[in-house]
Amino acid sequence: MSADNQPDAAGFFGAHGGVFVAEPLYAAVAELDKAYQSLRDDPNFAKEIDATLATYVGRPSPIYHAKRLSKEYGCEVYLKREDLNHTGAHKINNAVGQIMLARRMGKTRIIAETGAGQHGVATATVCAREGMPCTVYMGAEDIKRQAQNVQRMRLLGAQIAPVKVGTGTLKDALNEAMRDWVANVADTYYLIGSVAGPHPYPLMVRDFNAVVGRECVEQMPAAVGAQPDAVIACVGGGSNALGILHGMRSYLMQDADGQISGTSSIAAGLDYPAVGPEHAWLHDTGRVRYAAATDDQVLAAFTACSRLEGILPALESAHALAYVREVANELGKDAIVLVNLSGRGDKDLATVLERSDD
Amino acid sequence: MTSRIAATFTAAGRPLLIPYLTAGWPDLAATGPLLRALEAGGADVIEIGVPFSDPSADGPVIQQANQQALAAGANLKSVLDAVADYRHRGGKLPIVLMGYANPFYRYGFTQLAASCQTVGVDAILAVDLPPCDDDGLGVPLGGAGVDRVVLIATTTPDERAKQIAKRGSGYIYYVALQGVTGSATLDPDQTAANAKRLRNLSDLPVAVGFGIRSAQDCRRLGAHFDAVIVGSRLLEEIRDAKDNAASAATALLADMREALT
Repeated sequence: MSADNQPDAAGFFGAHGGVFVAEPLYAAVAELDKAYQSLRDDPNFAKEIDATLATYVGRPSPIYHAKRLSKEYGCEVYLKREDLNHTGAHKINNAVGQIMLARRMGKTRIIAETGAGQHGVATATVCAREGMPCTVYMGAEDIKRQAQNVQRMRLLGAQIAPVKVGTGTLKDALNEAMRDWVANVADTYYLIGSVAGPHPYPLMVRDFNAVVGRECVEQMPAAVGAQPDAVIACVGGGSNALGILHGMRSYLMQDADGQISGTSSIAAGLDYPAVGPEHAWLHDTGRVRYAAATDDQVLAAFTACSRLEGILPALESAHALAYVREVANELGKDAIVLVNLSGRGDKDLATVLERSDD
Repeated sequence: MTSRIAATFTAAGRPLLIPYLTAGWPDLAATGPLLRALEAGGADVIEIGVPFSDPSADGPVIQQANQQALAAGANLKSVLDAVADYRHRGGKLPIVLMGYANPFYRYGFTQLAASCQTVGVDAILAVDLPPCDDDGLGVPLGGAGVDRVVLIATTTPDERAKQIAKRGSGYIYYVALQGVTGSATLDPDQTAANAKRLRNLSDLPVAVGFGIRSAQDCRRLGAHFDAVIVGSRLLEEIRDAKDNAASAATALLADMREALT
């Protein structure tokens, strides 16, 4: 079973994914799919992206043997240092790919949604580089707790559109971005930052971030002499109930009436009630195990990584770190565990300091 | 068998007036009186909005109505109850439940079709469930004799519009504005020109909606379409009239209805 033959032509990963949008958006999504499919195997497109990732983003990102964390957690911990990318997270990989697609489609204006602000910063960054106007939708709650990223986006020339409706978090920012897009489909490109939304977004965002995994596959044997026994990364919401939201069918956090639940996470970037359709499929097939971390476990992991390794991880990435001990208990002290350190934690200082005072 | 909606279009001999009302708004008790107020104002068919937490195709007016309705305790079950009550009190107008896919999906499409048949809902319009053969909704609705109203947009290509129309029944809801509900004022002349395109694609009646705000809009569009749909404008009227919501709704509709002859 390989991810390479997923999704199918209609954008389904097993039972998940698809295109569930209102008809006024359908043509725009179809246009995007056509444009992406025509470029997906174009060597010139890939070459242009790779060159930008090398000279602008700073790829490949290193793999680092975290020796003191290894001792703390009881296994051999390696960190894929996506926090060292330009703009401080993996989000830039996808933004670079999509802005090039947007330019080739002849779009002249970019919109995006953001939760923690990392995708917003990445989008604002590539828009500055391409000279394209950029509007970033961000929940009013998230604007408060990720103030530093808001300022960064503004300095990069992006316009921030606060979203006060609903719960004022990532899901509402997505709704508002979809409302903007439907009214401006002719000239506007919607740059989604997660493996969510209608097909082809989950496919496209996966493809543009697959560079992380491809590098690991080469780097681990060279650096360690073996592939890892386990890989841990962080992902946002979800549950065991199927539903339809934001253009996709996947596992959603919802009530018995199909209303989407408000969510709560210490990490704004994970504060979302759904999980991408490919994740839902990987869960169904048993290829990936999905586990939860509490805010306290996350803060403990944040502190451990900061004090023992001198690396402030993003609170999102700290969710992955928080699960290492569990894996160590299961696989033993010689296990090689690779953690995707997806972003840096500078943006989270206010949240962490506030919680530490408790 | 001819559906109640099809019969209504055939019998009218003039463009129909279709108001949209969010169910359970401003509170659960308001829906019954408002449905009767719309009927009194001359509504021919009523679209009842099923509230949803994430109405991503709607503008601020309908968004707010959705939020307030949910806060008041509305859900799909209470909407079905409201229709049952409307029928119980002798309400005869065709009723279309319009909503986002997830509450319908969660309820179960087969169960939904059965409940519609039981309480007297005539059609379903699932906004973000693009009609296709295996979408799971068409078959149970067809089996229960419930129509499926479908959306066609200005950006829908002809071939796709034909495919959508084939899977629809009752009427086509033509989304005349590329945007969210209530977002702008429509250009009636340009919209009228688009009506011709739809005529060539399907035999279903075509109702036009999004951006219709006045009796004059109704008159001008009624000349080219089989029905006009008024949503955000009606909710604004109800919202602003507060205690006189029912009579204000009746008056607005009567004014629009008079323009549709």
